[in-house]
Amino acid sequence: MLGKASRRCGSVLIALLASLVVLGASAPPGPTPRDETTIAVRDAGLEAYRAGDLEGAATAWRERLERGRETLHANERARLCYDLGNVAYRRGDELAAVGWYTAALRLRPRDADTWANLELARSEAGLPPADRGDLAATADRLLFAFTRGESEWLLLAAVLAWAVVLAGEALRGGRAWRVASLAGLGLVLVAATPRVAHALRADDDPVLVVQKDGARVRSEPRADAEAVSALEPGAEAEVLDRLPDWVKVATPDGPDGWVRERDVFPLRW
Amino acid sequence: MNRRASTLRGLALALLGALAPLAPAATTSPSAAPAAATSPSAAPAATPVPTYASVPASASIRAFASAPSSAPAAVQTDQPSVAARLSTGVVKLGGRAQLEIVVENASTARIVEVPAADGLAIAPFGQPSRQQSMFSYNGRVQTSVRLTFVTTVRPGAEGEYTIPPITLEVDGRPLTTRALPLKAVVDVQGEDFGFIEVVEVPEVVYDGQPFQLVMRFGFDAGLGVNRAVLHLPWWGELPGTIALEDPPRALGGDWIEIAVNRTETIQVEETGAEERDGRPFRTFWLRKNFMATRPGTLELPTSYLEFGRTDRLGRARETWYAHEEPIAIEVRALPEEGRPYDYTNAVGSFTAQASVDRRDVDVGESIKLSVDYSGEGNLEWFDPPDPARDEAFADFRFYGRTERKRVDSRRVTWDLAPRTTAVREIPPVRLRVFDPELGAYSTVATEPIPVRVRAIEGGEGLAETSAAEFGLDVRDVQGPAAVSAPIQGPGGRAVGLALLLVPALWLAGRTAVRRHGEPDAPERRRRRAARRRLARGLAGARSASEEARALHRFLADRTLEPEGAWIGRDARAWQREHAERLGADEAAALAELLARLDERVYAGGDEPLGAREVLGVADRVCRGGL
Repeated sequence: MLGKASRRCGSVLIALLASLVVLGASAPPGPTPRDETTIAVRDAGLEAYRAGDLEGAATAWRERLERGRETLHANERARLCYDLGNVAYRRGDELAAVGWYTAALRLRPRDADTWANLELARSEAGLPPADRGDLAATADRLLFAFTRGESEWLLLAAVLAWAVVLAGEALRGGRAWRVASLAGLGLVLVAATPRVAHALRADDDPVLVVQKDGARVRSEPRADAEAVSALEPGAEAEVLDRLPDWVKVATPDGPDGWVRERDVFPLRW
Repeated sequence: MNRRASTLRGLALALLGALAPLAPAATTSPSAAPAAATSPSAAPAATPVPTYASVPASASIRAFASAPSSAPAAVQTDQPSVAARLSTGVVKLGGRAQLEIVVENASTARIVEVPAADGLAIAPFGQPSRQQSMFSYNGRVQTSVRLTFVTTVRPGAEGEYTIPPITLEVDGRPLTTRALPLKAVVDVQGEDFGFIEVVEVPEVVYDGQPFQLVMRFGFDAGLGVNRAVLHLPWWGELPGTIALEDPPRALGGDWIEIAVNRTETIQVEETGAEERDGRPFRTFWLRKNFMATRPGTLELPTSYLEFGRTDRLGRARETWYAHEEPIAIEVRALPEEGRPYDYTNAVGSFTAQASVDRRDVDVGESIKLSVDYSGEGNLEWFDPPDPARDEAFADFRFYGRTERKRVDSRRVTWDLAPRTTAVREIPPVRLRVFDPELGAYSTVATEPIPVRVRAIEGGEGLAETSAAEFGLDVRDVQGPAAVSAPIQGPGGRAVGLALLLVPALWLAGRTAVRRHGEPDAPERRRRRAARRRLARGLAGARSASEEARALHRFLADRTLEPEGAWIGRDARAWQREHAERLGADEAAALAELLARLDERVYAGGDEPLGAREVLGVADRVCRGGL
């Protein structure tokens, strides 16, 4: 009798777990942009770049990026940002190149070419390396090494693994299974951090200071308003509000204020 | 009375003196005749005083006991003095002697200078040991302090040496020890019992040329040698060279660890017994790679093999030495005559193999040209050639270079792009090499690689741009073909649902299962393990009685009874009493199985029935609810 009950419960659990797997696999994915045909036969921007027409290349890529904000997938947008970064670098505008490469990494965090070019551009612009190599920088890089989709799959895989262990604990009990369950919970918590980080960053609207002399933060969106602080070149700030030619930013350490729109570069594409 | 009192006082003082390591009579003092040591206020005495090195301890007491009757100025303990001595005056070549400097009656002392001695290696002195003692002299308690400096001395070759006087600063005043003689003799027995020899080393190498030194050593296998140390003065420090990576260990060899210079241990290969002079010798090989870095002469000083036996307590018993004479290697400078203008310091014999990642490109499109260099020489040290400066590559633009070292080769990859459609091939990449075998410069070139370059629509070639400096540039742009769609996630809802459902299901399942008892309870564990234990028991069973025993244990586990409960039990009768726990059909099958096992045990020669059959019935009764 004990065995029958246990078997029944086990079967129910397995059935429920299986349905969970099916649910996860068949659940509608996150918001997906309607993909355009990204593999065009010829890329006008690339042709212009090869021909040495940097202006033409920048225009073509910029237009494509602007048009494709909602329709192009993240990797293609990252590619366009990366290529625009190369154009900016070739023009000698290293800070703008840093902005483009940083924007590209937000979309495609593990691309080695982008990292290499970013570090080179930062070095040329006199900025410290993006990856300082210390613990905080490494943790930050690890946290955002996965795209949003990848982090969701990672978390789901951890939850499934945890489910298996919990099933064992329910059916068999014992100290070993309990310890494994706790370890599984720890695994889920760890696996959840990239997804949580993405969720917290979902509404971010960061900008990068690309003015060689830095950007003055003013109390009002007027050129003659009092300057309350200053942002160094390469500094990042969070956008709070926008007006024509002006952007209100929250500075990392200092009062919020307004900076000229031309002094900053948007990192969200 | 006076005589007795005098004697008693002398005995008492002698007793006090024996408690302290005194040797006032054995040490020279400024007021006594100088012998083993010197001091600034030394004055010749009428009678010679024995030297420190030669007076035994017992003599010090005798000397001191007679102090009251001797001249009052025979012992003065308030003047500092120094004395030097060697543990032995004769040492085997390869061995060491201990040099001891004793400073008496001083509160501070330091060694100012240890002069260099030709052919002698004097190890640095450490901190001195300090010994303080008190004694009574003429009714007054005196304090004596002794500082002892110790080091070792090793002669480099056979012969007679003199350890020069060593200057010390004692309580602010300079004092000097005497010179000490030392003789080094060849350990004839050691040279017979063991050997060490360099079997392979070039006499001449060129600047930048790697070379290998091969050394063999060994000792008589019949001696029971259990201790050996290599003394290689050139190990880890051979001026004019760089020590290269050790050659890879051969698979299958016998490798042992041996100490080198008493500072590190290395692995050497034992190559088995070798007969020398009719006796078997254990022999070992040692290989070390170097690269010469400047012209001149490389001097490898005398190498020694110290070997011997230790007893069970680790104390050294016999010690022998064998040595190899110094070796000189001539390092020649690379000749200026015939040196190509684009020579990049490659020395050796190399081959080069080129490959590309693509051969059909548009004008300006990136091509990765990789050249693999392999061979003997300074493979990882030379600078790779610079094709950008080669006229053959005038129609190419270079974007960068990367390198990767492999186990036995080096890969250099250039990122280049054709400027025009006129390009038909990637020209050979030339590496200028100095070949030590030939003593001349030569060229190692890759084969040309045919490529097809198409024009871009509306263009003829690459425009002239101010490209960044070769080797320090951004990576090339990426075309649309270089990217693929990112992985789409399952969605936040699915993940959230999973996070909620899993613990809920677990709680529900857990509660349901535990309604019928704790699954981890000992009884339930016992029941669950019964089948596994039965299978294990049957796998090892060689007779029907062993099978029966395993089956009885299984049944007892399933019914939670003592192990012997099912021996001789009637399964059918049991089922009638416990109908809810086992079906009639299953009980019948079980009863039949038990009967057959009993028959085999008692009347059938104890032949086993077979695990499969027993397990089959066991599974059936489990399914039946047992």
